[in-house]
Amino acid sequence: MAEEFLPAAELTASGRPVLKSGEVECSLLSAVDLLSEDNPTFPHFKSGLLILTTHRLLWLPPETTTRTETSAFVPLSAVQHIFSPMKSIKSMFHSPRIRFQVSATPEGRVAVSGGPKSVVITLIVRGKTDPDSFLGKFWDAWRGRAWEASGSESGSRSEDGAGSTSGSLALRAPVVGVAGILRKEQEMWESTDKSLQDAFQDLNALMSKAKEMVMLAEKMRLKLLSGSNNQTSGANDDEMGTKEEMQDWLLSVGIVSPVTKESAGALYHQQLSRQLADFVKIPLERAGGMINLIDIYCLFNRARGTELISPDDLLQACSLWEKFDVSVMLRKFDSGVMVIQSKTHSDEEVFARIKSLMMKPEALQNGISASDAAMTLGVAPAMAKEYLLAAEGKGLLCRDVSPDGFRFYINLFLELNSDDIYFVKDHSRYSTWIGAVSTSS
Amino acid sequence: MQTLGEFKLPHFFNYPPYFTLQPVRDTREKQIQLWKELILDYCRTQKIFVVGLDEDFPLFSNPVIERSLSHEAREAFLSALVAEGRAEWLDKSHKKILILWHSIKDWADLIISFVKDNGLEDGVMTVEEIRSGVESRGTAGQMNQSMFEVITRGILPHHLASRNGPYYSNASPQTPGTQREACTLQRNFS
Repeated sequence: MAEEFLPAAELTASGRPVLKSGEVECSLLSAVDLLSEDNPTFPHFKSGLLILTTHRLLWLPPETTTRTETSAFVPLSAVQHIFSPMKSIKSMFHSPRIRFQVSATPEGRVAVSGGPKSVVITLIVRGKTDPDSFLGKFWDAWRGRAWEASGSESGSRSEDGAGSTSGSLALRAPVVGVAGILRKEQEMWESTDKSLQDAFQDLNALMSKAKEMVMLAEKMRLKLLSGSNNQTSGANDDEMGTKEEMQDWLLSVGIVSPVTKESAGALYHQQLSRQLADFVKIPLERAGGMINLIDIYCLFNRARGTELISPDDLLQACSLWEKFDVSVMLRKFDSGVMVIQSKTHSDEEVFARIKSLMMKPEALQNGISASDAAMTLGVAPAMAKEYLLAAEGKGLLCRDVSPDGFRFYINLFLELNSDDIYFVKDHSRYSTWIGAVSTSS
Repeated sequence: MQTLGEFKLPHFFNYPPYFTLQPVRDTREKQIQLWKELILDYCRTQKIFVVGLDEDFPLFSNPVIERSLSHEAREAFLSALVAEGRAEWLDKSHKKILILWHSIKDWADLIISFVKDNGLEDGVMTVEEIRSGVESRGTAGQMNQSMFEVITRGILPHHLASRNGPYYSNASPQTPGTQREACTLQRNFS
């Protein structure tokens, strides 16, 4: 029904809009109605979240309804005119209204490509937000014509990149040997430095530079990638190491449109929370389903680049996850360590891995330390220790504190028989342990 | 299997966590249970009555795996024995403990049956006589010096008097002989 008039907006799993390349959020308003007063068949979008980006005006359904409800957007490119608000006695008693005219197809559908007809759309701001500042931003975004810039670029800059960019690299001055690469890198850094300096001159300029910065990072990554591919000889391991490191750094620059207090206002934490939920997926996957809150703080702020958030904001954003339908959750261990884990991640699976690790003859005999477990499980030692302590709490492991350190063993106590302390049950962990210990001594 | 003198040690004696007081409740309860059994078993077979908390008690360390019990752990295990009535602290500072590998009731029954078996019901006997006298040789479980402690603690007399009516003890500081406080076991005519 709604799709007949407005294109549907794509959302991430946590309910954040999927932004196009180069698209940056400018402002958010809650409790906004979107309708057309001229056209009675036009759907009435009631009390949703309105997001103004450099490219589009998105309307998202309110929290209370299910996610399946359609979200819609109006491409700014289709906007023909934004009406000034009517100042009258009548308007004093109404919720503020913002009206604008968009081009539409003969059927009345609003499309990116425009159309011969036009339709006037009205926004009714029911929230307590200031519609005038929103109107100002709306004007800025509309006149900014950001969609035109990215539209022309999108042809040359493909998403997966590698193929097309290596092609364009070939057209440049040939890179000769290591010195050539170093020189190119030097040049790159100089230009980066320059754009950094420009960026810091004023905050508005910073917003417009953000996209450029990300593109720069992406380009450098690709250049390094192709560089390491071409360089079959002459590169020593050390250099390769730094390149990989560099690539990792560049990869982690990446949030083009960070949620800021300025753009989101009262919705700041809520939107930040959603953006964070989308962001943590990849690092979480890499870390095996659970990641330290501190690590995420670093990664997230690095990805945001300039719009840094405070630890408190992060914590608040994480604790808001309970209220949303997102695939990640905040978890606090008994020791006070806080981690982010995906909901699909199960402790049982980790415990099973720990168990099989503990039943190896070596571990049976000497136990394992947190750092041993960290290596095998592929997690940070602090996390490994949390896992081990959790497994201990479940009665799977028990501890051995000695001058040699703090080690964990498979728990045999629960299997032992206190009525007959010499009794060894066949095929039990205890008998396996006796086997492992006696063969080694 | 490892041995301690003639005492056969269970396999888990070489299990390092056995020597660390476990923090998790279920595990710890089981660990305490196992220690209680081992201590009682060992004392019974080795005829040990008194264990000093800070002395070298062979069970409290295992040189093979280089582990030994902390003071806290020793006290936890021994306190568990006390709580079950299988031991008594000999001082307030909990430095020495009397291990009752026969419960006090069993000791009392042993002595009563010893007295009866030897027809000594109408006589007066000093504890020293019970412990080392000609009549008691080879009976009542070969009491040694520490057995004296059991009786002089006043535990046994108390139980004898209360449980078995006709017998009571009379602790008298004037009794000559040993330096220790001597007790007599007499028939109660009252």
